Amino acid sequence: MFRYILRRLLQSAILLFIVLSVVFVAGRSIGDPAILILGAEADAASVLQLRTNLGLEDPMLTQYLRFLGDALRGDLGATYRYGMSRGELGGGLPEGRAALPLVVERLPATFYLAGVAIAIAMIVAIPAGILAAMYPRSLLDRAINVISLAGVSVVEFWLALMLVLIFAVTLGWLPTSGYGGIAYVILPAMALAFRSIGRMAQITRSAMLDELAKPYIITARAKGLSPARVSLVHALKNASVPIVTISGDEIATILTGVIIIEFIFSWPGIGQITLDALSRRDLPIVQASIFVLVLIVLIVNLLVDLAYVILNPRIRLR
Amino acid sequence: MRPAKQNETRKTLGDTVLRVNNLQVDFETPLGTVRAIDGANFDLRAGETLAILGESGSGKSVSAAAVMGLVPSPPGRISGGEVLLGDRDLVRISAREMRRVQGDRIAMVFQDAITSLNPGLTVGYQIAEPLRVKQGLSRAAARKRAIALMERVQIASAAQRVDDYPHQFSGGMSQRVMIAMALALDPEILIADEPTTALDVTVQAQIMDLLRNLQRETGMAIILITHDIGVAAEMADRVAVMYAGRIVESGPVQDILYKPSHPYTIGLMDSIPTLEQKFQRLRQIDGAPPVMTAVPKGCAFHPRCARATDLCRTQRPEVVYLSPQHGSACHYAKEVTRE
Ligand SMILES: Nc1ncnc2c1ncn2[C@@H]1O[C@H](COP(=O)(O)OP(=O)(O)O)[C@@H](O)[C@H]1O
Ligand SMILES: [Mg+2]
Repeated sequence: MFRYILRRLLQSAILLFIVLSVVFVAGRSIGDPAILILGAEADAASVLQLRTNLGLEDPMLTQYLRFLGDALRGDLGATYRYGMSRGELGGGLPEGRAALPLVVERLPATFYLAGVAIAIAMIVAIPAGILAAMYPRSLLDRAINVISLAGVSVVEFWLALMLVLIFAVTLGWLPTSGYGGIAYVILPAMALAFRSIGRMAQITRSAMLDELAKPYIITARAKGLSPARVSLVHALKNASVPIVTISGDEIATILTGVIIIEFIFSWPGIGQITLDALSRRDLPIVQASIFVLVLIVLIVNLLVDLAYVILNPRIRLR
Repeated sequence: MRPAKQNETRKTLGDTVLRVNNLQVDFETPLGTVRAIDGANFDLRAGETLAILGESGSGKSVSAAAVMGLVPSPPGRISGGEVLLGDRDLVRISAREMRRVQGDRIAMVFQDAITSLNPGLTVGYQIAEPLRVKQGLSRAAARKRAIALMERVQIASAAQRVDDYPHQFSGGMSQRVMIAMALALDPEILIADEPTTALDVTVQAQIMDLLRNLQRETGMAIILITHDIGVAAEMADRVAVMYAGRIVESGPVQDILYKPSHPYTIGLMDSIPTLEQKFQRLRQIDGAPPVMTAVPKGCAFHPRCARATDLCRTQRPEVVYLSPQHGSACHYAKEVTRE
């Protein structure tokens, strides 16, 4: 079991390394950072000066190793833009704040929104999927099919706007955007959770149906156990592995989907700063956000793996 | 554990504890309605072993499911008849009432023990579950009982194995776990549906020994479902032979073995290898059992029967009693004998 976890940790480390390398390559191919910082009208001499200061004139390998070393120490460069005017940059090193802390500062807001969305998705989808499997062809069963179909075909962006239109603009029940308490988080969280609800309910339902068709269910019924106990103890115990898998996948989906939703709802999280940075070509911030998001997704996957080990005796006891 | 129950319901050997009357079970299939059980009659007496003997597809498992209230619905449905436990008709009681019969009064052991156990729960949990859920035993008390039950079915070092999962048990050991689970609530009737078919021969004999010993200890009646006439001969007090959803012959095991009075039973007997025949070709019943969507008119066995007449082809035979205990559903029951 420990070897299993160790192996997963190692795999995650390798994946992180690959992502860092992609970030490095992508960063160099977007354009010359010096021109990005100084602007297209800057003269050749100051561009060369900044390139030298930034280490961009060094051989690629040196740059790469330096990038990796810095990244390992949590240094993903300094922002080109935040908290400074272009004039201050001059020909010298940018004095902007380090990118990583700037991004990390935004995490609580993102976790708040994503956490509420994940909670909504799981609390709605898993019980709905279980009930649909227990009562096939019931109204709920059909409703789940419709919702998951809608979830697959609806664009999040459009859904978010429709939610705002209905609940904020027309009905006036909730604020259209902004950061704050429960009233503010409901609409963006629902927009973020909608698609996941459909998929999770569908997977939960089919995992439960698979288990409910197995011979051990007849044994459980022959013991005179209630239908609730047969489903919720016997079938769910074995269906929990696919349910945890899809939950992990959907948590990752929500964490990446949060970027666009934060933008739409002016939610001051990591998504907003990332899109901001993209539009302003603030490369270090973009790099730091990607790094942080990938790290979070890796941690989620690791937790899912741990959950497998706990849920499946055949893995746990090996 | 529950002396009251034993005094009330453990009757002296010979009283009928279960009576199945004219049972009919239908399945809706794409090819139309299939009558899998078509007027089956049998009864079970306290403390005895009744073997239900028949080829695969003859309706043995469906009969057991009907008794247990486990006919899968849809597609299945009990469309007629009664299953009388005492004076209660199990076909007519509510699902809630049926759950107090399942496990409590009638318990069941299935053919493939490995897939019949829940892979995600420890064997101890599965054995103790009825005690916890239905008798409200504490976790610790139920666990103790689970260990005791495992010892009773001769699982070695039960106290260590109680927290193991089914995949850590062999087929034979899994079947012992199933039996322990069935015994948990001290039922009066145990239905064992081909409990050893999936096991190899030596393990088979051990499980049969175990069932026999447990029956002696508890006095429970056993319905032993089998396709193996040898198993029936060895275990049963009485035998009911099933063919195409009906009981075609039933009676004390001696009568069935030495005075079979239905051509199908005779065919089954002839297919047993004897010492002299060991190197000869075995006699087999010609033809195959009917597909249940196209059961022959009249006597369902007539296409395979050497002595079938027009009567057999048109008229379904009623049971003819050769002795008060021994009946055969053959028009010529009094004439057919095994030569
Ligand atoms: N789930 C089902 N759907 C349709 N038909 C079924 C089903 N289960 C059983 N049957 C029918 O009942 C007949 C008897 O099956 P079964 O009782 O399992 O036979 P066996 O004597 O081998 O235990 C089968 O031949 C089949 O026609
Ligand atoms: Mg069967």
